Amino acid sequence: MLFNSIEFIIFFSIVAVIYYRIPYKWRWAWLLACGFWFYMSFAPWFILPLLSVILIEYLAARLIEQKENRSISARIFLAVGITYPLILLIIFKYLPFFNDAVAQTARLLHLNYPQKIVNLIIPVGISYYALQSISYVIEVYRGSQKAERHFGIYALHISFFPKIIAGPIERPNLIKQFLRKRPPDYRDITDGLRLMAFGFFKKLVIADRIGIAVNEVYNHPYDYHGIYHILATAFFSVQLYCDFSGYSDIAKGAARVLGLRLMDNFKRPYGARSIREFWRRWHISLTTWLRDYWYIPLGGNRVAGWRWQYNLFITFLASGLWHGASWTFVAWGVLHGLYVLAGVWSIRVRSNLVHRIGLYRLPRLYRGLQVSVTCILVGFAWIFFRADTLSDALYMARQVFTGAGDFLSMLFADDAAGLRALFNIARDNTILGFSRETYRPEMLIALVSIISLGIISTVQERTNAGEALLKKGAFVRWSLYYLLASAVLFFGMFTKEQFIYFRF
Amino acid sequence: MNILKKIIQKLIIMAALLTASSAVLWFLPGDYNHDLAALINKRALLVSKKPPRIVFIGGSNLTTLKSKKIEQMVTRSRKAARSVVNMGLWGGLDMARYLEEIRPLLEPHDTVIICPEYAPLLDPAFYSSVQRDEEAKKFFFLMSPLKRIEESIRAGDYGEIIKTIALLNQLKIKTYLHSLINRGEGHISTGGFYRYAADYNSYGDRKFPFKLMRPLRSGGIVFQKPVMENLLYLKDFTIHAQKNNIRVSIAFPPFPEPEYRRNQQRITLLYRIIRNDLKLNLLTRPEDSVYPELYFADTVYHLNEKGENLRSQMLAEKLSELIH
Repeated sequence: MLFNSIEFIIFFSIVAVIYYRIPYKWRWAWLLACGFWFYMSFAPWFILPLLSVILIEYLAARLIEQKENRSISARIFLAVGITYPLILLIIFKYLPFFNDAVAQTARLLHLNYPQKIVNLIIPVGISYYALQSISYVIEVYRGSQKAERHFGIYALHISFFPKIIAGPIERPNLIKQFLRKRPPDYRDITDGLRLMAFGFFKKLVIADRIGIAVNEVYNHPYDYHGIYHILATAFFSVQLYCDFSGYSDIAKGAARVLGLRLMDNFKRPYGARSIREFWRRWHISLTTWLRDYWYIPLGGNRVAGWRWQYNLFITFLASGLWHGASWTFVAWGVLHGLYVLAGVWSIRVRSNLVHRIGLYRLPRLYRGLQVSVTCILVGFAWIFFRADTLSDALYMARQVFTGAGDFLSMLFADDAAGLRALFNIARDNTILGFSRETYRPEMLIALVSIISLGIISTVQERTNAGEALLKKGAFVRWSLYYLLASAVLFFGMFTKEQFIYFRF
Repeated sequence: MNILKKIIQKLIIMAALLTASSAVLWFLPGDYNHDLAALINKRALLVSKKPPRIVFIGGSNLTTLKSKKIEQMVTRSRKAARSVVNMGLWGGLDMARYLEEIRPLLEPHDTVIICPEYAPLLDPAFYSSVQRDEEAKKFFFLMSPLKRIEESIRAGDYGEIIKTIALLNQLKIKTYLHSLINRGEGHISTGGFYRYAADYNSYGDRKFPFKLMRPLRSGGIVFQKPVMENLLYLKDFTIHAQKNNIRVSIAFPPFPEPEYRRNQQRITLLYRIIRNDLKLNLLTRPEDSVYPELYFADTVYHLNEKGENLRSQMLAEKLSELIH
């Protein structure tokens, strides 16, 4: 059951109404049952690995708490609590990849490796609930979180339906919220509904629309000139943001309707002035998880310079691998690691340059340049994230430079015929995946929607747009709500496209 | 619970506003920028022509027909006016549903020539894809919304109604935008295909021939077995038509020689079932419409100008004999 389906709307309405109708003491059970039902709607057997993780992590945490602080037995239970979800992740997600990698290496070395085809269906959300349960046992071990005694509440913490499929990767403090008695709160419910509507707008109106153009170019990279690779990559940057932040908004909104608060996953990432800042704004729940449970345990920045840089690099590599078991994601992680290291190495040179040319005297221009460069670097890396294979990604990465070079040289040479030829598409009846008849209206709708989103994001950067909206009169508010809802109804793509981050 | 009641009331108001907007948009004059919306125009064309008529119905193989030439030849030989209506549109349309749509519009003494492509009659996989085609369902809904709503309600499929109306409204808005971008100020809306007047003549034939393309698309196919469900419907339709004094005949689509030779056994079996088992009237035999590849345009069913002249001439002659 996807969020962008009528089934989910009906399911969620029933869940919310009954949730507020039943006594407090049974609400957890209702949410737990709904969570299991929601999760099993993808495939009933997916519940087995989930239940096993819930059971083992629950027991591991209880046993850690019972043992003496940081004793050997506590450490053993911690190890079990960490390794069990990781083993499941490796079996379902990484085994085919490692198998292929070993086979390729064996072929290179002319060794005989009897490669068996291992193709397991990955249970949806496993990458998310695995990390969430690991953070729980670590926090219990550290003593910052008490082991939850109520098995049902703990199970709900892992399987809460708005976030089980693609996060946010919640921390143990979500448990407290399930225990709190909360009457229905008007503000919470309306805020949640608004957030959900905004999420649907991002997903259905923007992401799924421009996704058609992205898929067309990325599925046939060799049929398109580099200029289209640039265009498709720029589109993909927007698609991915709208798809994932749209999902996060729906998840957060759904939880808010039920009186619960999930953590922020995005803070206008394309307004970041550096790659490091980008990672503080993009998929925040994963970035902070990696910081707290990977980067800092490695030593963080409280180590020798070379070791710190190694820690940074390896953290980005892990982030790439978490996203998917393929060389494209490894390359994407490596690229981001190199960006951050290059940022560290070049800090003095950049600072000198800015002072020498006087850019610091023009803060707006300086900021604009920083944001633009960050967007270009992030966009370039998205090629590796989106491409089907590493060879496609490398081809496209080369073509991006060729495309930009051709475009600029023709532009400066005032070569109109050449420019027209550059934009000529080999396809007969379609333009960027749209029929010739609908291409222009679709692009116009996409453009207007992206500009609207940009304006909203800019306003949110400066002020709390939600609060500002509530201060407006009923007519203005209702007009805006109507505009948002009718945009989804009249311009949404009802093709039930899966959310991109579901497959991670 | 007052809070919940208040919120539900507000949600109902918003839903009512959206429903009202959808209803307004549905009834606003406008077109649909989709080839299949021509179903609406073709039905209007059928209604506009006086009986007795010769109605061609089938897939896109018919769209290049020279209906004017056929009308003139038949009228000359018969010495009485017969108007030709070309309802041919797309081979992927469910023939049974299409015939059901036009059945109430037929009048005594009309002649219906059914000319489907081979694929829906001889390829079960293609036929099942035809049955599932969501795009075609949308435009059949547009043809008879009340009938389709009634069917969906009977099947308990309310979501389907909402989705189809929303998708058709979306297409209408996109067509408004298309018109705005292309400055189509003088455009008169027909409630059907946006480019219908530019693409089709007053008989329902395409104004422009198909592009020449080699190799021909949809070639190399090996047919499986006759799709009896589709064939039995043709029998039902014929019986009903005959009761109302409407003549129904089957014509075979044009097909290139090499493709015909490859599938001759299956096509002959189909011909025998239609003629001997179902006892349907046949206007042509399969071999009457087999032409060398040079008479084809882009697919194995689309004739070029030369090929179409030959086929239309042959159909006119056969029709003159049939109507006598």
